[in-house]
Amino acid sequence: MKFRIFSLSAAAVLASLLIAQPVLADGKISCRGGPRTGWANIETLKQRLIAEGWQIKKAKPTRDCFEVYGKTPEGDNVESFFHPVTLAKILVLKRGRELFRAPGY
Amino acid sequence: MRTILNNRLTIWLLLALPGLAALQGYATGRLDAMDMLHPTGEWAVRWMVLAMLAGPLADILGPRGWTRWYLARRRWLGFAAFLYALAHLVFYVIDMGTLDDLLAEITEHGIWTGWVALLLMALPGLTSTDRAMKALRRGWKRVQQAAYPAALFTLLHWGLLEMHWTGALVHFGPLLLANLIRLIKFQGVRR
Repeated sequence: MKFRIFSLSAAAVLASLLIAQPVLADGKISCRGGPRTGWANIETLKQRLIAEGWQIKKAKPTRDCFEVYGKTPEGDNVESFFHPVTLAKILVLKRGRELFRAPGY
Repeated sequence: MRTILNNRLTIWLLLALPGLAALQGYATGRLDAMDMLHPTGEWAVRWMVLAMLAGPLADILGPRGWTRWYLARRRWLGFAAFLYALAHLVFYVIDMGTLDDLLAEITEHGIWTGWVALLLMALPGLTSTDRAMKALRRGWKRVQQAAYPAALFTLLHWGLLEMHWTGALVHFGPLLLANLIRLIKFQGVRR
């Protein structure tokens, strides 16, 4: 009986996740950064964010984005993505919840 | 080979190996606390799934030498999963740095599901000793079954944080599949 409850509830969770997949699959953002030869220096981004009041834990190039882990001036611990050429903010996530997404992304 | 597979120290060493490799990276500064979250969490899931697969596989395939061996060691796998989950928590706490920061995000779905999963894992984890087994008698099995909701909350924790379900489903898929096959098999037997 317990196995049946587990299996049925697991199947229900799996089914709902698969249905929800297209909506949730946006975790891996594409910043459309273009070739890396045209990218800005990531230090410039770090300095700008620090000046805005961010506390940066880590900043690195990830796929076609600059990815920054840190604390926003509002006090949220976030994972954020920036355009590597324009350094525009593209996506800010707080533990899987979207706080900001640039229009068109 | 048989002697190696039956040696408690060898098995614990094998279970500890991924953690030791990650810890070596942390100790040398190659990895920071944030980098430790993935390996500790993923290995907690792997050992958890392997521990929970033993029962369904033994039921599906019937009594065999290796299924008996596997069943006899699932408690170790489960306990290893719990230790990796604790390590995951320790590195999360180190990464967050302050209690205020920890509490500030406890209501996030990706986070509270992890806390619930860990608390549920603690029940079978802390009662996986022979002494607890004797003390709890019939209740022991019921306590161990907290691993099932723990697995569900772990899957949710992983998927919600990653905003992508592939990794979590690849890991939990075999467990789900084995339980479904067992369910179908036993329903067929009852008819």
